[in-house]
Amino acid sequence: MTSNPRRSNVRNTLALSLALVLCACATPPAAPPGRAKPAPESVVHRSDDFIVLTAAKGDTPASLARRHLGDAAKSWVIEDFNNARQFTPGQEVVIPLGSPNPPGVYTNGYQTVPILCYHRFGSDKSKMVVTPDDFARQMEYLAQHDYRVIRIADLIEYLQGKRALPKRAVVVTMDDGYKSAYQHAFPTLRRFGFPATIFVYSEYVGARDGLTWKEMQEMVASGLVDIQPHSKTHSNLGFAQPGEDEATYQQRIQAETQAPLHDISRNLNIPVHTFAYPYGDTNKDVIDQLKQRNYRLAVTVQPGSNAAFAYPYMLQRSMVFGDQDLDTFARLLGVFQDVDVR
Amino acid sequence: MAAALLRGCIALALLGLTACALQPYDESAQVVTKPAKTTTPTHENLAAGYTEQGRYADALQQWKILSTLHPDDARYETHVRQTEDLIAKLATQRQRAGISALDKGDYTTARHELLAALALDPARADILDNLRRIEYDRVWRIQSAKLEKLRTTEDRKATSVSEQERSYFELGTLMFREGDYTGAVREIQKYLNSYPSDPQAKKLISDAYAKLAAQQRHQGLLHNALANVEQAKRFSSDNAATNSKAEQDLRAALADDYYEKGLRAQRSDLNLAVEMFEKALEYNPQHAKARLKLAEAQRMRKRLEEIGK
Repeated sequence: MTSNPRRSNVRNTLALSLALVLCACATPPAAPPGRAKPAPESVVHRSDDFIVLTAAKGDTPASLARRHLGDAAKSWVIEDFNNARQFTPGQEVVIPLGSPNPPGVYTNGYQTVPILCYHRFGSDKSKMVVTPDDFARQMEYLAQHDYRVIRIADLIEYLQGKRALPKRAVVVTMDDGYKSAYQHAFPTLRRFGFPATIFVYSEYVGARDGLTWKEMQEMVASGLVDIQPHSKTHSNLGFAQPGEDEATYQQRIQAETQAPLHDISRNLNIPVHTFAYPYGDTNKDVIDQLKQRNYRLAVTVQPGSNAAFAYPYMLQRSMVFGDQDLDTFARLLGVFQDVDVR
Repeated sequence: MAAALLRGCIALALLGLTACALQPYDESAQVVTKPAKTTTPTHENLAAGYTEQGRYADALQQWKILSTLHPDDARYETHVRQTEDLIAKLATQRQRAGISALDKGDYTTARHELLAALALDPARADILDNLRRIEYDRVWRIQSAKLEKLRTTEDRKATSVSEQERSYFELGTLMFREGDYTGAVREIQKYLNSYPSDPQAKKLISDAYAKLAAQQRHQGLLHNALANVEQAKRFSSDNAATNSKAEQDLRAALADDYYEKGLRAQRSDLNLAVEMFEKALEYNPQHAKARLKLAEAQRMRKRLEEIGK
């Protein structure tokens, strides 16, 4: 079979031109700058409540959260709802646009948030002293077992039923303001990107093995560490001391709740929202004082985790002791309370 | 003709390219309304299963997902509305049962019913508040029991010691063993803030103060050492003789120190000399030389005042 070369050229040119036009039209237009563009192969369905899409190659919870929720840090919303940490291409992904269940209460139980309480870090292990290696192992345990370390301030809206938290949310706190929090715990927190709150009492700031304001400023500047009050002198606020009359006692609890608030505001210029009771002890007078000073939360040392309906001024905390092994540590991490309420 | 055809084709291609390039970005163009068929039965089965199990809030989510996948299918929207109505009705019933139990003081039933109501409708802040009343009562009872124990236990025995106070005591003991007496005093004091009568803690803090005093005396910090040895005596009488002897020695050393300062001041500043001898006697009233020198300095000062007149 023979063909006319000129006619063939024309045919080829025509075919090329049409192919060019089709290719050009088949390529979707570019998203405007600053606007996230869905992956071309994604199949996306939207409503007021959900986005349902088919994962494309390279889609991760973080990339989907960035694209559809505007913040990669909200990846947990997608992970928790789909019960998956990663997606394969073609897999259906459901993205909730609101909080379907802010308090995390279900027919088979409810979410609880453990607040861990550390004190001192150092090489001489004892009940109150956790070694830096043990602390690193504990943080690694949290990371490896999909726990999400959140800020204590995140609990404010959670306790109002306005904000959902990751299903495996955990809060890390350290009491008293030992220098070892800066020397040993802070580098580990940085390594894992975990936030923590250090509760300091005013009179210990700048003591020989107490944190200095400069060290606290550095930690706060990292964006990971929050400094909150733990009283002025670490006296027990739960009751009047022997020989202390009612008026003197009332003056003491006023001073113990007010002084650290001023000290932290003045030296660190950060909002003060949570008070840690020395020894975890409190009473109605102390709570009234905290409310008057606009504290939003307060923590005790009653062991246990906190549901969304916990009383905000008596949140439970579990002490982490230096003589605990990793299994004991793991048992402190109660993130769900089984109760069948159907 | 071929050239003309070629030019026409190129023009067509360019026109096509331009037209495509001018299309505005439309996010909806990415939205494919055709549902993923394979997932629909899964969501339907889940919705039906949850409904059967009484997990209406979970069922509602599935109906809403199906409604998202099939916005034009009215059946799913109907399921959404029906489930929402059922949830509202059941949640109110169980909340009422919970509040009724709460009013009767039956916290176990109240908690169960209110949890059931909240599981049905997790957005109900009023149910959350009712549950919080029960939780407040629970944590408050634990706290009150601890405070009561602290108030009423006369000898504050170890059995009544909370874990945190016990931990401060242990940390203080560790610091004492390590020779960190300042740290030991601080941590044991935290324990004593709650258990001021515990004899073991009082003995330990007394010993820490005594050790601290000895260190400070060695460093020439006599005032600090004296203050700490006085604290050691205040907390425990177990080492009364040793502490009293240490106190006497420190007072004598301080008196000698002030006596020497008085002697040096006597040559140039009689007022300062009088002050120093008086301080020497304050620390050691038996300091005979200081007493003599004080009298001498006072006489000299009086004489100078008379000459001045």
